[in-house]
Amino acid sequence: MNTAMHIMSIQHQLVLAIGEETDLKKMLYTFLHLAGQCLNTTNNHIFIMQDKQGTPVYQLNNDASIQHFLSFPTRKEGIHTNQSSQLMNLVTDFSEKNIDSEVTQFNSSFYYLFKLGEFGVFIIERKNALSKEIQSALPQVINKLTNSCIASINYHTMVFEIKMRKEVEAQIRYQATHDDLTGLYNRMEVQRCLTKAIQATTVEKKTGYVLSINLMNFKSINDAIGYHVGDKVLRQVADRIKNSTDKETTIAIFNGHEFILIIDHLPANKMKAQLIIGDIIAEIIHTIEHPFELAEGNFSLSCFIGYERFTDNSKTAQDIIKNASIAMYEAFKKSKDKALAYKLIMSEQLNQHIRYTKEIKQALINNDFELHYQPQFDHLYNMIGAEALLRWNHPTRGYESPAVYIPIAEESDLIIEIGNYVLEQACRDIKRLRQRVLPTYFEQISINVSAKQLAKRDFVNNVIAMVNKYQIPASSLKIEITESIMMGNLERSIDGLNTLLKFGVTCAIDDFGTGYSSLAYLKRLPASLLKIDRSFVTDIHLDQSNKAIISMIIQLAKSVNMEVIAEGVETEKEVNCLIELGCYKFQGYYFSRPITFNKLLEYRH
Amino acid sequence: MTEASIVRFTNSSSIDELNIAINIVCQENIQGLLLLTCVDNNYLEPQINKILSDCQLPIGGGMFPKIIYHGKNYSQGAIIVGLRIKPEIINYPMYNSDERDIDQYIQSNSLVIQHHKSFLILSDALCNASEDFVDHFYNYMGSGVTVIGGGAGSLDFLPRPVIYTNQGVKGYITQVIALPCSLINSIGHGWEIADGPYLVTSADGHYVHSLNYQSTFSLYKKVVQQQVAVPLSDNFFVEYAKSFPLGMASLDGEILVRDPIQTNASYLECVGNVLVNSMVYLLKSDKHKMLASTQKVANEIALDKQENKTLLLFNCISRDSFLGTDINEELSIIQNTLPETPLIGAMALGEIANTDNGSIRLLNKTTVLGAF
Repeated sequence: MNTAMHIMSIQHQLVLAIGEETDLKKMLYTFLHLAGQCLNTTNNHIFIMQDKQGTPVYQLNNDASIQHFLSFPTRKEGIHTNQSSQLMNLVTDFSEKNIDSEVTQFNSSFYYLFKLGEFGVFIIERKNALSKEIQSALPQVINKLTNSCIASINYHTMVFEIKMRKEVEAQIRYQATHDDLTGLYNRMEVQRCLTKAIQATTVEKKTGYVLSINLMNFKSINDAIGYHVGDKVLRQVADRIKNSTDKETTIAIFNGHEFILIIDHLPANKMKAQLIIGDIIAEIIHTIEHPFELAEGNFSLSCFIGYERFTDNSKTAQDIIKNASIAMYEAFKKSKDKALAYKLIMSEQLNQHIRYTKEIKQALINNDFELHYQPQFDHLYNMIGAEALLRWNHPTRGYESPAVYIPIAEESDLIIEIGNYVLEQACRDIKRLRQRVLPTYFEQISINVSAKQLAKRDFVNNVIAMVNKYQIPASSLKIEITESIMMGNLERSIDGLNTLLKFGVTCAIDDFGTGYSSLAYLKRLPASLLKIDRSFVTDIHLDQSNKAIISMIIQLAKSVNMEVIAEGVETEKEVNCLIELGCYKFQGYYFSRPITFNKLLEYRH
Repeated sequence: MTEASIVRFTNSSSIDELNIAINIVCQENIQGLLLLTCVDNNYLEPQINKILSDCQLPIGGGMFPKIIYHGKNYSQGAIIVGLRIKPEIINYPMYNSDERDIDQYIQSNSLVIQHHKSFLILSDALCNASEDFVDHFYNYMGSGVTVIGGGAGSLDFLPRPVIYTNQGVKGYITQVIALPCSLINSIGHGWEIADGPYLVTSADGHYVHSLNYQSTFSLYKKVVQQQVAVPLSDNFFVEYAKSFPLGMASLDGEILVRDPIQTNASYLECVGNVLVNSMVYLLKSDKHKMLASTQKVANEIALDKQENKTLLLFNCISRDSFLGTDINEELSIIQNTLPETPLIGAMALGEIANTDNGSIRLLNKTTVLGAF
């Protein structure tokens, strides 16, 4: 009777130990621990089929194999039992047999092996043999253990799948709302955040601001050093902005390097709010302008900030962000203040700008552009050439000032189209000009080429093609460039100008003295003429400092074998002064205003 | 062969005597200290802590109700064991946490001793987590290690710091002293089945609420009554519990004693866990059976061919109260069987040793004899 009770007691204890625990390892740990006590074992082990990731499975598949899963205790004679090849061999042999249990004896231990379904093996190690009665009582326990293992594995699989799905969903959600590189919010998300902020601000009667921050010089890091460095800098900028604002600030990035910040819960009082936002802006500018020290070198950035205030829901999130961006663009364009608050007039100007751009496009289609020419003279008043000047004859407004439309065209690719028009029209005019009798000393027509145009890969071929198309001597065309080309891809520009020089098209440097280029590059440019900017020429006879500058430019030109021509000459006194200084070529109202091509044809001197 | 340790004994409760003895032992070529002292020495904590923290050698040990030296037991005094081998001593402050955390806790704190095979384990007897610790420590070290040890503390069961460490005397900790030498052990108790088995139908840790679906206290009183001629009063427990412990029988016939130490007239609280659905027996013994068991334990150690120079005994304090003055006879049996080595040890509140199957268990009313 005692034996029967003892067996029943063991059965119940073991089944109770299996319990309802859903964590497989925890459940088996409790079971193995108790099995050790109830069955007086030295070691107990569980081997379970596992996939390549070590996840337990109970259904046969090609990727799964039976592996050690858990032992109690974890070692035998100091050796971790999960490393025992002896046990593994025992399990492999047993698994291949079509039996549910087996006992083997070696190394003075008895090993009782029980199959857990088709997916596992439970091993009991004892010093002595188990009685037949105990052995016959164990299958019921093993059956319960098998079912509990399956339930645990199922539960784990289900939990794992739910977890994975949640992770994937979270990842998708994150990707849909965040920028990959910086981890900041993206455009969509910041609009959602701003909509909420507007609502809260309206209800709470507070003030909020949206800041639009654009990095200057950033593109040149990407272009010159590479995107990998640009990315690092961008991440650091993001971190710095995060660190210089409080945790409540919403920060987003879009368009590559434009940051949008939402700062809300500020006081309703406009002055107080403005003071706070002013401090925040100052801090952001300061933090961005601090040099970035990377392994690849030190880099400096600056930024322009535009900001728009909101106190109620009269404007949409989209409008507020747009306005902040317009203010940022305005700050950038004026380059006077680092930060500007949005004003309605900015939008009006921008709209005008957009309208203007459309009109320029239309003008190109309608052929409303014309070339006028300003003749150039030597000190003996011989016409030696002319500069082609673009004129826009607007159908309703009449002639537009180039000072208005050229900067607008330069902001877009329209300047390329305009440049192409100038090139072709000038070549066409040169051909017509050459069909007449030219003044004896007339050398060439010069056209202005923008840095953007010069940087185009097909620029040189275009020039050569036009010269060939109109069958004019290459030497009858001169191109005028400004120092600003040195800010772009200088090497490519120099190569292009050299090719043109070999072809016969010469080059002049326009507006010389106003740029910021390094004089070291001057010698490398294949230019034959320096055009002294009108700002130095005006009233030169009265201005000693301008006289000194012009004298220096003339000396400089001589040293690099260049000729000089003075622009904007308007009086005889200026002419005489320039001759005194050694400049013998002139262009300006004193000699001739810009004239139409027909008048140029008729020009006699 | 050199001695594994040198031993100095004092029957004085004076802390100065202890300090002198420690200093003398430290002058020998030793690498660690094991202190077994009596709770009744009543050392002042600041003084003992200074001695411990001043010592440059690893220190372990504990305060017990009694200490054992040369076949006699003492209620006051100290045994200072200078270990010639370098012990690794790890103190595990006990805390309540789930099982997986304890595994992690033991694993991360036991790396330096993971290749050792011989251990002394001393625990604060009032710390209920000790048994769990022992289970998890066994899981970590595995079968094939040898352990002896016992619970430190006093019979008044008042909480006090009782484990010696280099940081002072501590309470609520378990201390493991890993010895880089061979350790053999033998355990025995002399208790046999008087009645049972009874199915544990309700229990929670140390508390056995019901046996065979009856109040444990009622059943216990009934079955004890069958063993004694005199009618039992309601407060029979105080007098008879020490003579009739409960026990759990293993499949291989070993009996694990569970000593009932208190009752609320419904449950019995035992020293050590009793599991639901397990079977317990009522145990009984007498002087002759106990001494015969002790002789067997001593013989087993004597049979071992190793020349062990330190003989360390953890004997349950309840044996002392059961045997009374005959306790010294029990101790003499061991000393006389192993006359060349001075027997040292402590009367413990619960003993710790690995049983036949290798598992480390918390034992009651047992003699745990080790030699290294």
